[in-house]
Amino acid sequence: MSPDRQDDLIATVDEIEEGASGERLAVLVFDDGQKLVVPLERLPDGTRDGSVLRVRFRLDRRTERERRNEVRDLQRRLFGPEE
Amino acid sequence: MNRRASRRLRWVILALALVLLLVILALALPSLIGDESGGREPGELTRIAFFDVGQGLSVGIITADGRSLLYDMGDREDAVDSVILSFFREHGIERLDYVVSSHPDQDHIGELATVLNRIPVGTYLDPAIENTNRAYLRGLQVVEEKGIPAQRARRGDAFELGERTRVEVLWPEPPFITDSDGEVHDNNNSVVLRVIDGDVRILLTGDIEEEAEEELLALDPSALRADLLQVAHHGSNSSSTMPFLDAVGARTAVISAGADNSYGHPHRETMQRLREAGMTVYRTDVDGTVVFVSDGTQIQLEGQEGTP
Repeated sequence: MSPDRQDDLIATVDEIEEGASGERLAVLVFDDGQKLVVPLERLPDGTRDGSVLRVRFRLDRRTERERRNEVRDLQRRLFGPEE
Repeated sequence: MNRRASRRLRWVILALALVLLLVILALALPSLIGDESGGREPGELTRIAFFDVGQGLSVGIITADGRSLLYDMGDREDAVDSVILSFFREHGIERLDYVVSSHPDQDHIGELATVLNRIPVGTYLDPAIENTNRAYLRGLQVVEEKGIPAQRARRGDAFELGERTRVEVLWPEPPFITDSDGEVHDNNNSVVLRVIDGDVRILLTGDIEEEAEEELLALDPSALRADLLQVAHHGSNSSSTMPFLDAVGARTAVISAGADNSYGHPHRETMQRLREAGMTVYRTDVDGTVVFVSDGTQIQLEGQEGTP
């Protein structure tokens, strides 16, 4: 196994449920027991009940910066300048 | 009866009718223009509810004269109507005077936009600290869309919430507490409120941790004195230091935590310290929504009024 793959998290599709709006939701259970509910359409084609997925995270500094600026601008408009 | 006497009698009757009409109008006016106090008479009870919103925090206050405040709203959409707003509506409240976000963490403000979209709000308060939480961003967008007056919460601010209830902002105070990376620390810059209802004091602490507790103690320990304490950060061991609990000196404390939560809240060490501080502890994960009532001289669990 490559070093990269060692950093991946392993999640099992524990069940596939119907959401409130009729969308199909996959309940992912990580090996440490934590759960994550994800729309099935966001997962790779062929994902089914019992599939095992490798999950890797990456930092998205651009979106973080954009989000931070958006919040800051809104705060400035709503609350005015800090005295 | 001559003509003059008859005219005088007519005027007397007319004047009496006018007086009667004014009396009826005066009595009916509050219900005609909408009684914002929810029909309450002064001298009734102030209610403080710690809502069962799972792993999160939400506290509702309705004062004796019908003013209202919501401090955080948790992260469960189904609880907004069935737990939080139903409490207010059951007591005749159709408009929240204040909504306060303690800090922009999901378990505290996840349903901010939902609340603002479902009930009119008078004023919105917030620590206005840097963050990237999407639910917070969406909440602020609704504040702007609806034109809700917004105020930055800072130590030293205070406002009246009805005739006998006053709310003091004890925290945050710039410069903000930062973490080891120099980033503003969400928890430690939570809005801390002390609600003073007559002689009764309630301390709401959000998720402050040891660093904020130390600063609050250094500023003025007497300002922390309270009869009822919302235990900070769901009973985490990173909060509720012994000096802080001693300064608060409350007889009663409430922990808001979700049943079987992943963090092990409340932590055993915190429970031990609360016991050592002599506090009776209620927990939303065990007791569900917990409601206290204050008559302005003492505070008790709802349903146990009058017992020593």
